[in-house]
Amino acid sequence: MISTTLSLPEAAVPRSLALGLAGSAAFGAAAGLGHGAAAMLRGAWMGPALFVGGALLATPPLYLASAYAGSRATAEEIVAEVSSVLGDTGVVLLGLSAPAAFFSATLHTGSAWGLLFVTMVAVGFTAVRAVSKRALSKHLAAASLWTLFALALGVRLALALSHQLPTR
Amino acid sequence: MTAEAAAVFPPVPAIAERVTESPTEKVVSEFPPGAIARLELLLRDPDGFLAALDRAESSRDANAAMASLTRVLVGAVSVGAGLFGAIVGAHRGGLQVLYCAVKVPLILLVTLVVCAPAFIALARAARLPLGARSVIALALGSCARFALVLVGLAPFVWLMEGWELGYHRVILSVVAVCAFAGAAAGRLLFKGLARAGGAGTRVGLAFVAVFAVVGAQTSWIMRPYVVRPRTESTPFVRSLEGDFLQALGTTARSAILYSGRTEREAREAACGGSSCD
Repeated sequence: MISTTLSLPEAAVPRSLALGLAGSAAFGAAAGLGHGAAAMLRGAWMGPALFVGGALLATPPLYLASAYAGSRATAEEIVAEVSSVLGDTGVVLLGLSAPAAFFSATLHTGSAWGLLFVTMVAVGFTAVRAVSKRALSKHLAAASLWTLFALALGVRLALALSHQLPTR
Repeated sequence: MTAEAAAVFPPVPAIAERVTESPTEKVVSEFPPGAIARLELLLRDPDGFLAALDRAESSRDANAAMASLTRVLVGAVSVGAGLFGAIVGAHRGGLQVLYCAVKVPLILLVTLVVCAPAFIALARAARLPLGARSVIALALGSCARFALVLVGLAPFVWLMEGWELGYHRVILSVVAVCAFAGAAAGRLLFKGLARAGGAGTRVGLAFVAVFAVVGAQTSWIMRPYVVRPRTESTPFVRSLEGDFLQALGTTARSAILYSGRTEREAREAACGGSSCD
């Protein structure tokens, strides 16, 4: 889904980060729309905490994996690749904000949580796969290892953030 | 040319003078003239429709061409889905025919509006060579194809209603018809996106997933359509409760339970063998 072929120049890194932040915050806020202003605010910081925070935490191990695998990619290039994918993820989350708001306003069963979970897993997995393909395309073992690590990190972050959700 | 010949044959105008059609008319002619011909192209020749869409998009006055096409496609969705809705509502009859004729086109159009930002974002993130206008035109074309196939299969639903197979089986026949129409719409969508290469197919899958989930929820909040036989009055929409997946599971279980039994026997079986009226 997210492009795996085009790298952004380094100058685009702040723009991509801003897109990632804005998109994930918009998605989080939209997901809380049907539950009041407090839920919207909570979603607006939990979205970036999950997606941007996950990207920040997963980048150093990605650089290490790249270096140990024998890749010549510099730290700047790795950061550019991660931020590019983060920007694309932000665009996708921004686009998904409309359906998220729609479901938040109209779906009040347990299926809403399931749908939100599936959406975040799908977007997160696609982003991790895109980064892995871009940065470690010629190093399958390192790519697999880092992908597993990044997914585990995502699950850990999601679990930590779930404690911030109100109990019913 | 002699003076006599010039009197018999009127002078041929210069080429510049012969072009009397406006730029708008010229661009619109990328598609066959007339709404029916365009819809026939959409239904019978998806490749031809997509080629005409590309030509219109890259023409001098693309705005006018796309506006004209959009009017035809929205009209097809409104009329086609409206007719199908009327047939579905005819199971109950009365005011429900009108309600369903209004609600079914609304489902498609509301779903499209909710999904359009996601479609554009997905196409952009995947770096597809399609602008926002092309993505929306493709999605709207797919919805119009969906509506046209629904109209074509509406007699099947009417036949099922006529055989008095019961509420749950009529619902399942409607779902089956919608699934068939969805496959026809998906064909156009995937063909349109596949022109962008392998990423196009993946984006198409994401489009279908988003549209199916949002469409299911929209149809759920706009219910009732067929209306249970025991229901006395039929509201335009019901209050928000439950969701589509739960309801589909319940309907499938009920259809199996009612299979080969009278409605009373099945109800008694569900109530532990005693009458639960």
